[in-house]
Amino acid sequence: MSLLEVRDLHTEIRTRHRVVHAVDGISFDVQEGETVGLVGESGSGKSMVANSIMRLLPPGGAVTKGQILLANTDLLTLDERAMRELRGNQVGLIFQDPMSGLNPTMTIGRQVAEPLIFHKGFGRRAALARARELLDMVSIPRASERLDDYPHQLSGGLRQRVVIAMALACSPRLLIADEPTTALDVTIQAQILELLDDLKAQFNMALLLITHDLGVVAERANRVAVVYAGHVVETAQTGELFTRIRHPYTQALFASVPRLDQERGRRLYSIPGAPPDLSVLYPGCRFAPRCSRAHQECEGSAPALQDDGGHAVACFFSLGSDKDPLSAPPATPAAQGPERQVPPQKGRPVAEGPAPRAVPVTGSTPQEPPPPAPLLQLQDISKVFTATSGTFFRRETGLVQAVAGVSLGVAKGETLGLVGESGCGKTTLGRIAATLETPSSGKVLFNDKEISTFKERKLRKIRRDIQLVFQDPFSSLDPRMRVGAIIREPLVWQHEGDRASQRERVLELLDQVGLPKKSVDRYPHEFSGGQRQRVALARALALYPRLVIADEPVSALDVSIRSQVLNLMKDLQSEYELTYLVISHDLSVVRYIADRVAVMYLGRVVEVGSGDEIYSRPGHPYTAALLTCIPQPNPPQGDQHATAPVRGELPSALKPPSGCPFRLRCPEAKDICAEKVPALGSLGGTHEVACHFPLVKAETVSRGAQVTTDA
Amino acid sequence: MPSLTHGYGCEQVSLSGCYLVLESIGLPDTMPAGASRRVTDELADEPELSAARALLRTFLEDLPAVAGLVAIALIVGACFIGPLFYRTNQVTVNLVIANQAPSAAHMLGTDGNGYDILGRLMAGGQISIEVGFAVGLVSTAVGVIYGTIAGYFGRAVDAVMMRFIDIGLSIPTVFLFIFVSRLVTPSVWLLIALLSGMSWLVPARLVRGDILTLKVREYVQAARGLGARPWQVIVRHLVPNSVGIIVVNATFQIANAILMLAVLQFLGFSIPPPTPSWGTMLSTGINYLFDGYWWQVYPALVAIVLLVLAFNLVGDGLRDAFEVRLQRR
Amino acid sequence: MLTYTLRRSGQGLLVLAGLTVITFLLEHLLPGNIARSILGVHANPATIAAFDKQNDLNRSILVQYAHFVDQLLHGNLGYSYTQNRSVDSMLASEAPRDVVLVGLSLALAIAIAVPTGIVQAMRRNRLVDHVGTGIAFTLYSMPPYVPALLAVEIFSIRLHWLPSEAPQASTAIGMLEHPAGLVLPVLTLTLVTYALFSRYMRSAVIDTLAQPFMHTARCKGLPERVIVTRHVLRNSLIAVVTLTGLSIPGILTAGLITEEVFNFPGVGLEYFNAATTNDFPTMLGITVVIGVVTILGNFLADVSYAILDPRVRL
Repeated sequence: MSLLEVRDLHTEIRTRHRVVHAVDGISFDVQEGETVGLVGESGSGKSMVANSIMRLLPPGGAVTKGQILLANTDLLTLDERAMRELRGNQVGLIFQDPMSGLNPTMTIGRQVAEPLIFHKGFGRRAALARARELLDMVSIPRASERLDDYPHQLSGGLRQRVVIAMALACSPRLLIADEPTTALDVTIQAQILELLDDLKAQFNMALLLITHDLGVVAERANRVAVVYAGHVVETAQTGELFTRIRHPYTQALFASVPRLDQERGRRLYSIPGAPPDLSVLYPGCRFAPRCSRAHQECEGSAPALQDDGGHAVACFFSLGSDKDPLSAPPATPAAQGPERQVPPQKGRPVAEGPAPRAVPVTGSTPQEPPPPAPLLQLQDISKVFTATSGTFFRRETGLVQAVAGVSLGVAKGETLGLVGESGCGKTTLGRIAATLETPSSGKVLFNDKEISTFKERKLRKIRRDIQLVFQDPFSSLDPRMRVGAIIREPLVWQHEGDRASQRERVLELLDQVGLPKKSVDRYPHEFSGGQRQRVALARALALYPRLVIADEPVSALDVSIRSQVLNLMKDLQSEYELTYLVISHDLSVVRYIADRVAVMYLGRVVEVGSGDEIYSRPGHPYTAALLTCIPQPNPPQGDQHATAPVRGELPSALKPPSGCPFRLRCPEAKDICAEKVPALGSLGGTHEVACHFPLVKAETVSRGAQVTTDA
Repeated sequence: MPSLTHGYGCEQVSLSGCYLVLESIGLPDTMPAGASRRVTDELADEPELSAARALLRTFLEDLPAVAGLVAIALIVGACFIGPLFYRTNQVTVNLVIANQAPSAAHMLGTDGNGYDILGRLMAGGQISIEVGFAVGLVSTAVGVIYGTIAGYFGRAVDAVMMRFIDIGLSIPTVFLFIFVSRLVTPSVWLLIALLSGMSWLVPARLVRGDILTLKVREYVQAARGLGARPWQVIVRHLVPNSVGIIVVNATFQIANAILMLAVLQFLGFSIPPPTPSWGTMLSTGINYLFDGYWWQVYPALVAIVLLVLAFNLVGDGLRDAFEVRLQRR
Repeated sequence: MLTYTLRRSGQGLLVLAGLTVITFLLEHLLPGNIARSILGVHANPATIAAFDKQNDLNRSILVQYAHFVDQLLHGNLGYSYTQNRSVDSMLASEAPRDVVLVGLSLALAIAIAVPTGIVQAMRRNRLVDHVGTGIAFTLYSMPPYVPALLAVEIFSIRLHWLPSEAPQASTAIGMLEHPAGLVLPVLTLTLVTYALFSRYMRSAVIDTLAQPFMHTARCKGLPERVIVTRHVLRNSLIAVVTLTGLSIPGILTAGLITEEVFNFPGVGLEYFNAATTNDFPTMLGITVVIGVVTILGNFLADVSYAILDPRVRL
């Protein structure tokens, strides 16, 4: 029997000027004890499904049609009182942002106890005692001491655990997790997902996992429903779905995700265009305008979800069907034939034609070309901040060592990827390289000139050569300026050319980043996230810079848009002969774009090497852990769920541990790790690691030579 | 194919455009080099309304705010143009016609000195409006400059500058004004100077707060990274982006100045009679309240409340309109 | 918490010092000779010389300032030659009655504004909210004497229910013994203060309701009553408390006008009378005291803010 059955759900949000059809006929079900993944990009309506089930829609929102059956009771027919008794009692909800989801003025103990008091009639004392047990169950260390803590005293990961404890307080039958790990770092994400799995079994409940991350559902869900523009386009058992993709959207989405096992030099597929405007009613298939197989028929009417042996798909020309126009490739080279299926067998994407499948591990290959001259050199950079706290009344609470003695070089024309979790100092390092911040100690050399000592006037000149692209395409463009003026800005500040030539250059740049000429007169808010990031790239390139520092350039973008921007960055690199410093928390993205990778942890670089070195032979336990934490869109074989390899939370940068910064979470840690900070030592060639017990042995270089470069 | 292109019209991405190339080889999971260029994202053919127009549209949908704007226009028009058509004697006392109830000759009656109330209302309104606008302008300008400097330079500069604001805010404005009015007989200029001198503190605080949040925005960082000088960043990015707060507050400042002026006039610490003023009309009229001369009290009372209310409504409407815009950025 | 309080008191003292500088300068703004303007035009040269000597007026400006501060620290707020009594003794007798007026009004205004603010915010853009906002907005746009006049017109002149003058008792208790006379002044000041607070409260609650943790509370299935008392109230009050501190000068100004209209024997009326008789020492003394009250009020508001908001604590 289905625990939850959603039938033909229609949810609308009315605003003053329009009606958004956020959910437009979604049906799916969740069996007892099952995990169902609801996957979709932002704006696909997946979160509205959760809100519809809870009947807590934003103002103007209403379910206009359909049924939501929880154990055969239609939730839409219940009165508010009955519904309230159900929320938090039979259905628990976990949402994305644990930072703002907890009441800042109430202790976590009381917040966890609340549902018990109101649903189960617990007394205050009993409820608090149970809250302590619950906090224990979600693995909050020293739970009894934490009951009286306020949310701001906990880290993001711990807060998410509190939110989970709260949702589980009354042992609900269904737990809805709406992007439960999106705001968290990968190592914490792995822990939380594992916890959810454990608790699901322990509480014998069903889990509806809503996420944009194909990797997360592949690893955790029994069944998956793919949502696009308010419709379910495909649903099947996880294994079945990932091995036999039927819907063009699922296929395209899958092909857009950069993967760790991706081969170098391959280009990512990107879905053209952007998701449709949901306020416009539209008779045909909503994916048709972006679909490579769309036909006349697709515009006329929307395909219904057709079940075929447990694998349902909503497409007239689904992959592998009789009507698939591409099933018998007429005029295509034979080598391209099988590509269309994209069956990710054993996690390896099908190679493109004759391209070599395995990349030789470079390591100590002797015939390596001499490294090109470094364009940017960071020498023993440290940065100390005075920590302040409180939103209104700032006061110093200590010193934070954001960056601790980092030395790195970026060669001309190469892309260096800087990876690390939040708070590791990567952004600060990027800002120091961009001369937006001055290092507390150490030198920044650009083109062999020590720019860290330059005064404001000289810096302004150097800044034309070093450009920045920021993470958030919403806040990196001045909302009050037209795009033309935004792109022209660098030319104006650097007194480059007259008005006419500036305008010409702007148009040229727009063309190069793939934006129409009419963009010139538009405001940033008229553009989508991906388009804005193109504008930001155009602005960065206006002065023909030599180095572009991109801080999380794609992490605010949806998967299908992300690959467009990454590909564009690659193209522009060869065209402008750019050197990139790409900062990201996402190892897959860095894998795709970077030649060399540096991994940072608590202000230090713990490992540097070429992409292949880092990804196939990680030397540092932290790097290895990061790699195993990333959910890959390949369902696990059999029952072997990945277990979270790293325990605990990132230590506070205010009080970093002695010795190796990673030792408290490291499975390999020994006594020496607490005493001595390991220095970067070579594992052969360019591969360097800062660990007393590296996971791979140094090849040609003897262990004795592993002495410091930065001590 | 109009149905395919609504809202995100990009013909070339739809069925038959550049992706035909890719289509013929099935869905590639690699993209040819340079294809990123051809991914011409869609952009509506019609540009959206410009910022100012969108703002205006939101504002005009706000009925109370529009009513406020109309009221301001009417009152300002009546006070400055009215006297050209409705000529009255506001100079010589004429006790013969004192305390007359409203009639055809004196539409709102006369006061104890025989002055026509309506005429006096218009003349008094001129001062209120002039002072209100001038104070709004001056205090906002000073506040913006002070607040921007404190907010942009931050740290010690900010701390010191903010302490001065705290000191200023701890001094009770009206009390101080009364004190000064005993030393110097107020003129319009003195009124403007003093009221501005006490009013700029609030906009300074607000602007400073806004600048503090704006200056860490990435577009400001980007401008610095592009080689813009501090004053260029301030003039081009910071001040234009806090224009919402500035304009809204300026409106409230005008309302507040008119209100304070009315209080001072009422207490008798403003420009001395016979200069007409709404507050004075009220405080003299009040003495006749027990005699039933309602027309000596209510016209001025209504005028003050209406004008202040109108400015407050407009300010509130502007704030809502700007907030709607803020949500979109 | 202690560190915070200390830091905040440090700031308060700094502001206080600034206030004394300003009042000191104001004294020196007095036209012509300070002694003459304080003692009156008809003072004889000998008295003036004695006055100058007593107040160090012949010495450097720094010494004069030191003298001024020293006097303040000893609670000596000056001497009114017009009334022939010291300003501090005047304040000692007048201030308690003000505590009655301002305290009652403030308490009433908060008691009304908090619930109405919550109701308006929760029924945002419905009839209740429009009516509430309309009333608050109109009151907010009135000079404080307008509600006073209307109250007198309605309750004293037309209905003859209440006296239009405040009781003329000499003590705070005495005032309370004539509640009928207190009604209109308290009502006036309450309305004016309410207008201010209900707008604060409404927007604070609207902000709180928009916070994601409200969604959490609803997801827990809590009854609306519990959501309001446990989650909305405290978080909204945090925002209101700071604003309360900032609105002290405004409330005291409204108090001044209320006292003038109702002939309420308090510091405000005293100030008004001093102003009409050019009694500068009294005016200066009262200004200093009000400044101090404002600084103290802001300090208390910030400290209660810190108590209400755990994020501010150390």
